[in-house]
Parts: sequence; C-alpha cells; structure tokens
Amino acid sequence: MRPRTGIVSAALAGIGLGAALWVGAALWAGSAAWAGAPAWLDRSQAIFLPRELSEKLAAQQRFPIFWWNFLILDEAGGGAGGDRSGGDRSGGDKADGLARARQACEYLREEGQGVIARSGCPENLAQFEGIVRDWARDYPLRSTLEGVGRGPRRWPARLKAAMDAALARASLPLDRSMIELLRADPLGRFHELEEHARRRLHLRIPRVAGFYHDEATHRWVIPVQLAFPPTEGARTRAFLRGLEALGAPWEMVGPHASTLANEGQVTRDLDRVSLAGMTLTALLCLAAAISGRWRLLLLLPPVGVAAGIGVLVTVAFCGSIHGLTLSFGVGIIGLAIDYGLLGALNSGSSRTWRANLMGLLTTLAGLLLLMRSSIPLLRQMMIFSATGLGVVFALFYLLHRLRPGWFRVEPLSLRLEGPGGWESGGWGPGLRLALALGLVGASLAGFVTLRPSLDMMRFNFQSPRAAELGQWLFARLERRPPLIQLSSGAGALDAAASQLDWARRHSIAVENAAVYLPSIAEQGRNLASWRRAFCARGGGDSGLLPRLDATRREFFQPFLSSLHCASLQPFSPESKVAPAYLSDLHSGRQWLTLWFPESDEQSALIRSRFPEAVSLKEIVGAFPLILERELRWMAPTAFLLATLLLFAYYGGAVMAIIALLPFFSGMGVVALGAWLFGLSFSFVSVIGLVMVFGFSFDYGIFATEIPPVIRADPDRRVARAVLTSLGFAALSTISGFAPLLLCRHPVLRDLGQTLFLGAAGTYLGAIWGVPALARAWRRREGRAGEADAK
Amino acid sequence: MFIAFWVGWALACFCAAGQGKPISEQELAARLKHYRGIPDLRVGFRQIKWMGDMGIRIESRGELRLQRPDKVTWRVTKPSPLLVRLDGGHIHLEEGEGSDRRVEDFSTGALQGDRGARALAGMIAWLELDAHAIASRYEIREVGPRTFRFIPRSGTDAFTGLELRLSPDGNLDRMVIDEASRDRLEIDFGRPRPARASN
Repeated sequence: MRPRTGIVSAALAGIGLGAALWVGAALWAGSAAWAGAPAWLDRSQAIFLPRELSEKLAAQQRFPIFWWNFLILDEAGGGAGGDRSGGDRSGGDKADGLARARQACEYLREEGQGVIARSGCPENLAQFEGIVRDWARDYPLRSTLEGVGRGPRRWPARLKAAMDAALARASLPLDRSMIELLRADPLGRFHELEEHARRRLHLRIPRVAGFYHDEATHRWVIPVQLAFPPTEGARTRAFLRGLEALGAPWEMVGPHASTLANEGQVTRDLDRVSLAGMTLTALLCLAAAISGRWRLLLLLPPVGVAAGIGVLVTVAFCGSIHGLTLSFGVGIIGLAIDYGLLGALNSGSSRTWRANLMGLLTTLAGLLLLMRSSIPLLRQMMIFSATGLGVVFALFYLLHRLRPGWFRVEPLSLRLEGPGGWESGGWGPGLRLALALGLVGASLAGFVTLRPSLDMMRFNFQSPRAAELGQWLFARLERRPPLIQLSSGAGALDAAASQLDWARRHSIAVENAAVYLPSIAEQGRNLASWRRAFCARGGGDSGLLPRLDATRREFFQPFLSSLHCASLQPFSPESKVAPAYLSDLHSGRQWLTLWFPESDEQSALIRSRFPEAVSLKEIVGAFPLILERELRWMAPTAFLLATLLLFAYYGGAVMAIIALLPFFSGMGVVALGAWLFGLSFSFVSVIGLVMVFGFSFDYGIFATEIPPVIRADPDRRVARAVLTSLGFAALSTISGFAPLLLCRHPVLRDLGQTLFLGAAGTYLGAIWGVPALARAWRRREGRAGEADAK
Repeated sequence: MFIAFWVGWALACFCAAGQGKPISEQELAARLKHYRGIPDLRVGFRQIKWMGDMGIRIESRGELRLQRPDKVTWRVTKPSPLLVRLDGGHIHLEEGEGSDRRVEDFSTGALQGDRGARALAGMIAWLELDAHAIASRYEIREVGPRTFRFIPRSGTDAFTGLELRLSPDGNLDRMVIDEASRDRLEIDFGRPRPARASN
C-alpha cells in the first residue's frame, strides 16, 4: 500500500507524535518524583513495606540521630585506593591536611544551624549552647535540691561557691561561647553531657589537634550532623557545592550522601530512559507514518487517557501515587497497545476481540491477585495498571466499534509461502520450533535452579570510591548496627526508664530518653524539693534564692531563670518540643530507643524481651522476603487462573498449553541471560517477570489466531495481520523497555534486562513455536477450516 | 581661614599625638630590661573584666608568679580559687576546693584551633614581656610616660589591642587588654615581692 501524503496525513502524524510525547512526559513525571513533586505524588520509601515496618524505616529519615554523615579528606588529594602505609610522608601533607580540616570547620560554622546541627569540629562550642542551656535548665528534673550540696555544705553555699568558681573562670580571656556556657551552667553539669557524647560515637581513629586523623591512610574525618533529613536532596547538594568551593577534595559518607547518590543516579537514568524512550517512540511513530500506517498512532491517545484515569483512581483509593507506580504502571498500561494493534490489523476477523478480551482477562488475573499483596507499592501498581488496562481496552473496543475505519491498517507484506517463505518446508520452520522448545526447556531448568537475590544492599547505588570509603570508615566504628524501637504517648518516658533499667541489669548499651531524663514520677520527686525552696505557699517565687549582688544576678540570669517557680515543671513526653539534648531521639510524638548489642546473644536477648526491636538491615531486607513469600503462592495461583481461562477459551487443554509457550520461552531467555552472560537475577527481576506474564499470554493467544490451513485463509491475510500485530507489539514493547538497559542504577538495570529479554523471548516463542505447534495440532484434529469459519 | 587652618593643623597634631610614637623592638627591650632581669617574680594583681554588651563587671584578685625562662602562674584568689600555669608548652588549670576541685591539663600545640585557649595562652605569654616576640606580632607605640600600646599586625589575634604601663622602677604597673569578643580586662599590679625558695 502506498503511503499517504498531504496536510491531513501530516497533521494526524503530528497528533500521534504529540500523544507519544505525552506518554513520554508521563514517564518523565515519574522521574520528577525524585526532583520535586506535588502533594499527590509520593516519593517516600515507606511504600515498600507494610505499615509496621515502614514506620521504623521512616524513623531513619525522621530522627536527627540518623542524620550524621562523615566528611573525609585524603591528604594526597583523594583518588581510589585503600591503605597507603609505607612510603615517605612529609609533615607538610599533614599540616596541609590540618589546615584544610580547620578551613572545613570554618565553612561548617558559617553555614549556620539551618544546615548544620552539630559537627565534630573541636573548637566550635557555640553549637552546644542550646544543649547545655537546656541541660542546665533541666537539672531540677534530674536531681533533688539537696543533691546540689552534698554533705555538710548546704545547697545555698554550694550554689554560691559554684557561681564564684564560674566567675573566676569568666575573669580569664575566654571565647564568648565559653562565657555563655558558664552563665547557663555554673554547676558544671555539662561535664555529664561530655561523658554521654563520648559514649555515643565510638570511632576508632586517633585525634590530632582535636580532629580524627588516621596515620595509616592519611585521612582526616569530621563527623557532621546535617539539620535536615536525607530526603532533602537539594539542600544536601547545596551543602556539598559549598564544600567543593573550598578547593579541597572532601568526600561525604553517610545517609545524605547515599540518598543523593541514589536519587541522582535514578534521576539521570530516568532522564536517559525518558529521552531514549521518547526518541524511539517518535521514530516508531515516524516509521508508521512514512509506511502509510499513521492510523496506528491513533492508538496512543487512549493509552494516555487511561493512564490519567488510572492516576485519578489510584489517588482516590490510596491518597497519593508513588513515582515508581507512575513510571512502571504506565508501561504496563502501554502493553494494551497489543489489543489495539490486533484490532487495527486484523479488523476483518470476528475472533479478534474475543482474543483481545482473553488477553485482558489473563493479564488481569495476575494483576488482581497481586493487589492482595501486603506491600503497598505492589498494591498501588496493580490498582493503577488494572484500572488503566480496563479503561484503555474499553476505549479501544468502543472506538473500533464506532469508528472502525479510523484504525484499519494494512499488515506488512510478509512472505509466508513459497521457497524461503516463513511457512515453507525444510529445516527452517523446524529449527525455529526446536529453538522455541529449547527456550521452554531453559525456562523449566530456570525454575529449578535460578533463585533471585534478596540482598537489598546491592541496590544501594554507590561509586567505587564511596563504597571504599564507607567500608574503611564503618570498619572503624566500634559498635554493631543498632536495633531500633519506637514508643509514643504519655508512657514513653516511663517505658524508656524501664528499658534502661533492664539494659543496665543485663550490661547492654542503650540510648534512649531515660539516659538523660528520669521517669515522670522521679521528676516529680526531684522537683518537689526545689519547689519547697523556691515556690511560695500561695504560688509565685519564694524569694529564697541566695542573696546575690547585681553582677551575679546579671551574669547568671540564664541559669537563675530556671529556678523561678513557674519554670519548675516536669517534662512530658507528649510535648511537641523536646529539650535540645533529646532532639536526636524525638520526632513528632515518637521517641526512639537504640539498642547496641555486642554479640548475637545480646541481640537475641533484646528481641526476646522487646520483640518490636529490629535492625535497619532487617527492615530493609523485609521487602524482598515479603515479596518472595507472597509470590510463592501468588505466582502459581495467577498462572493457574490464567491457564484455566485459556482452557475455557479453547475448550481443551492442548491449545491452552500451546498458548503458554511464549510465557515459557520468555522466561527461558531470561534464564539464559543469567547463565550465559551472568546477568543479575534479583527480586526486581521477579517484578519484571510479572509484566512479562502480562503480555506473554497476549502473544500466545494472538499467535494461536494464525490460521493453520491455507484453504481458510487463501491470501494469508489473517496470518500476515496477526504476525504484523505481533511484530509491532513486540517492537513497541522492546523499544519501550530497551532504554532501561542504559541505566546504571541496579534497580532499573535489572528491570530493563528482564523486560527486554523476556519480551524478546516471548516474541520468538510466539512466532516460532505457537503457529507451528497449533498448525500441527489442528491438522491432526482436522478442524482448521472450522476454526477460521467461527 | 587662616585661623581655621591652624586649628585644623593643631587638631591633626593632637590626634597624631594620641596615637603615640612608634618605637622599635630595641627601644622596647631597653624599657623592659629591669622587668626581664628578674628571674623569679611574684606580684599581686587586681583585675576588672568589663563585658560591655551585657553591662557586667567581674572583679577578681590574685597573684602572678613569673619564673623565667618560661613558667608563668596566674593564681586567682577571689572570687574563687583558680590556678592557671603555663609551663613551656603545657597549660595546667586547677579550680575549686575539696570535693569540687577540678584539674585540667593540655598542651598549647593541641589547642591551636581553640580561640579561647589561644587567648588564655596569649595572655599568660604576654606577662613574660618578650620584646622580640611582641614586636614580631604587634605594632608598638608609646602613648604616654612608660605607657605602650600594642596593635596586632594580623586580624586573627585573640586580642584587638593591648596597653601596658610600667612603674617608675620598670615593673609591671597596669595592663589593659581588649579581647576579640569586645570584653576588656584591666589589670592593676602591686609591688613585686621576692619569691620564696619553695613554690
């Protein structure tokens, strides 16, 4: 058929291109989830896990104690490599490194508390002012008034002596931050905080001039606690840009750096995928237009409409839609193009829409089953995909019924019969069938031998340099990863006190609010002694504060204000604002407990007493375990359900089994890829296989529509139509997922490999295996003409 | 106009005179010769620290002991016992009494990044009055009889300015230190006493 030209054709081609760009934009919108998103677009990690686990994972983002990172500087200026012991290291490098460390600390100080909460810089006392002030203010909660002056010296004399000692120190030439510390804490309670701080960070690296410095590797380390969660990548990026401007090769290791690296790589990959996908789609549209089949472009707008309706329905059910759902769900909906292609190319056959309906039902069988997953992301993906598929199928059907002429397209002029034809005799078709069956064999072997990797950490994208630094640093942390436990409500502080008491009895290290504040009851007892001295019977201050001169009253005003009667109140764990020294352990209404077991036995003991305590690694690793557990019954059940549908459709087992061949050949190519090329096979690959399941049944059903008997299809039109639709469908599927192969992030790369190989294998099974087997079976049954007549 | 010119010239001379006459390291060394010649010096002091922005005035008393070449002890007796000893490259700090007594020791090298500790070490080192060390870091001006003003040559010093007055017999009489934190120390010294054999 000669291609049409003219303004109308060009306009319609333009509409098709525009629709393609819209679909591509929808894909890109998924990547926008990482950059900045409206409220209905979710980009949290909580969606990967059931609620009870996602809360604990979210804790890693919410609690500031997890916002510590490490700045690392190699004296020689960075570069890959581990220990550099040996060789001559001049003192100049070390002096230069120390100067750069001081320069970095100056930058950290200038950044201010909006960016930096705390740092390991040795001379920056100002960062502790708030903590020391609150610590000194809350002294009456932790100790009785009699505790101020033990022994024969009563508290007024003790308090006066402490103030005099603070004034004596203040008479020296001191930094203003030290002066403020003396004003807020004349009793010197901040020494208790020093001890707590020493217990918190166990880094086995010696200090030089107050900085961590490893002689063996000539590395300087500065711990830095950022003042915002790791998800705020833009702020992390701005901070690192400022650090880079110092001119020294500082590198950051920690949750913010890791999150930025992963988000950055996903964004770059999705940009690459979107660009490549849109380019391929545009090229396909152009090819369709040039070949005179521009009407196929009219199949794209319904996909876009269906995706939009899918978003609305998903947001209505789930409250929001995740960026990953948007990215991959649109791909699933796009598979519905197969139905439109068969309808457009084989519109003359009355069996077309029955085949399409069966394809939809077999796909929906899997999607509806996966909707029962306890993983919110999978549930959401299935809601979105099922809605979109149903809508686009309905739109295609209606449009084909109401406007059949809009989509009618001539199939490719494939050479089927005669010497060298697709159906010609000889070893050609036989070899193709053998290869298809070989792929089926490979898939069966793959079911037995291939086990998906469940290691979530391999999906943490890291540069080799970051991985090396991370391993070097964490080998020097003296503590094992902690167990996390959350509590909330009015009893949170008492629960923490109970945990602390249990931990001390079993010699297990723990970090929670009770380390710093006693239970509500004990606070009350402590406060009672202070109120007796400082509160008058009728309320208000009793004026029993030691008689102080103007200098002392003014100098110690920050401390004295905490002794006013109105200030002597207990701290409630339900308060919205926690004291500065507890801010790391408090978020919203929740309080964090970190257990630090030193052995597996201690871990087991903690879990036996507090079953809700769990490590971050376990939380993160739960996702693939839950997925594996659910797929163990969901996958066979979906397969069985779809097969039963095929049995009902074909009225017998044999044709149903033949229609399954593309599914197995697709799996077989994936298995071969894993064995022959060492391609990774992970739980992400399993998610990809769910999508392969969807379109492989479609291909199998379509392929069984190829008439086996020439008499029923004299000009081989139906065969050409089905083969053309299969080819276009495979081309659009493969070109849609091929760009994922360009990705560097392991999640997207694994998905791309599975989908690309699965699509290729499915197509080969559909055109090499199914028609030959179906033909052979039908010839045996002698029902070729009846099948076509129906 | 003629009168205005002379008034302006007189004013300029007055201002210039207020800034003092620059003196060299050698001249300063000559003025400090008597003080530097005492091997073991003990002298009482009375200090007032002004924290202008807070309106706070802290008064303290104590004794300075200087044991050449490099041991300086700054002992505060009022408002509370506090001892700071600079001995070579080490700083020893004691405060409080009885069960409240606390001791700290650190080296000046480890404290290079600590502005406060640098200021403390700087003040103690000042009491040695080493003309060479002073001249290398400060511009020296004589602003009055036996009175010298020291202006730091770099902006990173712990002090923004220092004024020193010697007694007629060449001992320390008064020292005024302007800190970078805008606090001011005014230290008045008594008559020096010969040191006893024991510490």
